[in-house]
Amino acid sequence: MPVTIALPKGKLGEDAEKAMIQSGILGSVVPKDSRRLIFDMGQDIRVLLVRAWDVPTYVEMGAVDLGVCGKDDLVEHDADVLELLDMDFGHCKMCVAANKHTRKEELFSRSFVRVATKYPNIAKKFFSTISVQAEVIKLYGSVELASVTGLSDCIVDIVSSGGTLRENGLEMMQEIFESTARLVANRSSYYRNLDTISRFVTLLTK
Amino acid sequence: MNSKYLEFMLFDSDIDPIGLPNGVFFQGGNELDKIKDVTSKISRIFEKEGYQKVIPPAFEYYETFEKGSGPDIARRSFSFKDRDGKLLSLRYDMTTPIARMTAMKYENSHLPLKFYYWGDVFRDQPLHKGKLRQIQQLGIELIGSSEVAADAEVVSILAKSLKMLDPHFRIVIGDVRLYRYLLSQLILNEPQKEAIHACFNKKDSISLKQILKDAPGSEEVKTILTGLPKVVGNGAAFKKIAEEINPKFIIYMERLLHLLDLLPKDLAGHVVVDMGLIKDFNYYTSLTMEGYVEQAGHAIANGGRYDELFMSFGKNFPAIGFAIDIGSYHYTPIKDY
Repeated sequence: MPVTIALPKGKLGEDAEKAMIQSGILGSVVPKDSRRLIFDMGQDIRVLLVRAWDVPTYVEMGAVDLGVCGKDDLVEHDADVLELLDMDFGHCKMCVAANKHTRKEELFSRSFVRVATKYPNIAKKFFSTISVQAEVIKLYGSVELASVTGLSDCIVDIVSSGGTLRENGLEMMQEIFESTARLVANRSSYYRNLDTISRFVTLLTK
Repeated sequence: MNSKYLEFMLFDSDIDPIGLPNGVFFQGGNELDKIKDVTSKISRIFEKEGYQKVIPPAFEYYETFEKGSGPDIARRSFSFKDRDGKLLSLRYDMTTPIARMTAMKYENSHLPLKFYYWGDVFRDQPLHKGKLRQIQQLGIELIGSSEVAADAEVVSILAKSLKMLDPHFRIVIGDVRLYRYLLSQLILNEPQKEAIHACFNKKDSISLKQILKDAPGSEEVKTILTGLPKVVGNGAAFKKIAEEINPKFIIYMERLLHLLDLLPKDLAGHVVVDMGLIKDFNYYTSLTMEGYVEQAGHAIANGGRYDELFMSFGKNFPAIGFAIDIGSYHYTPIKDY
């Protein structure tokens, strides 16, 4: 039975693919010229292309054995998976941001704050740790717009270079945690294919 | 426009479909036959080994579960009030009710006692993750022996049982004592301890390092604690790892090494040792175990040694047991597409 790996579509997945080719786990690039989502890469590896959000779910439920995804998604899902390795790419920060000239002290001392985010669980948890009543508004992308248009008082989102924030007149208020890409494994797959998966981890560590 | 369509248009209306709450399902047909078949086969294994059937009540005082499994677990039980206002809980696990009953009814002279059970336990679970809230369990408790031989007996019975589900099953064993000892050498507050526990369950050594960075305590202890979740290997590999670790800590691994020697030889390929396997129940005192089969992405068997649980009920009986979640693999990953 081959080991199945879920790779996220997009930049994170491309970096993961590169790392796996360099380490010799994958023999060649995953062909992206079609709409296929499943690829047999040699005898014992199968790659699935999945939305980054969904990687933790596929891995947790055992639909795939391994996956690569950001720590931000793992925290948001509270995914019950094993984190085997920090892949050392996809560096970004989960943070609270708001329109320029907002004072952090003033924002965090309000009795009520509206927060727009793709990460409702993280946002809720963060504001409860600083004892601020927060109304979380779930969005699916371009969260910065919420703050610009006044839909919300601030946003919780990942920031890598800070370029998008700056160009839209936003500023970082508070860092919540740092995130990187992680190699994750399904619990059952890990123990049942311990030798193969340990070998992959060693190859990727080098 | 048919009425089904209308229901979706009127999300907040009073027109409720007659459905079921999350995490429960109605059993019947082939699935029920399969579960019945496996249950009777495994029950027969237990009976052959001298285990006697018991059926704990479906609900007991909340306090019993709080005493037995700790407040974090008890909080996740389904609770309601008795006529006199006392809080009651549907059984969260079978071990606590059986321990309470045994402590009330039996004395040292009756030991050892061997019980088995099957029935449902009820747990609040995170939603939309395919987790059941009513779980059918089948398991054993061996009460009254602290010997490694008792550990070997229980692990062997678990192996025989899992074999009925998947010939390529895995049993993962660990020991919480080294973990607890290392924690006791550091000065940590409750949230930090909880965070460390969560990191262990996910083998997240990156976050673990960050939590430990600011905690007062020796660097040596921190380094070993950080590395512990990665001390995983089959019998032979684990023996090698154990040899390399600081001899100061080997006393916490000797019991596992002894257990590996006592297990039947044909189990060698099925047993994995994981020093990071600390589990969620507070009551485990040394050995912890999990069972995995191909049909499920999570552990379908859980157990361990709980030598101090009986103290909560006024007795000092060492004990060990496991439970198999018998109906929980109704989602089976398909791998040969």
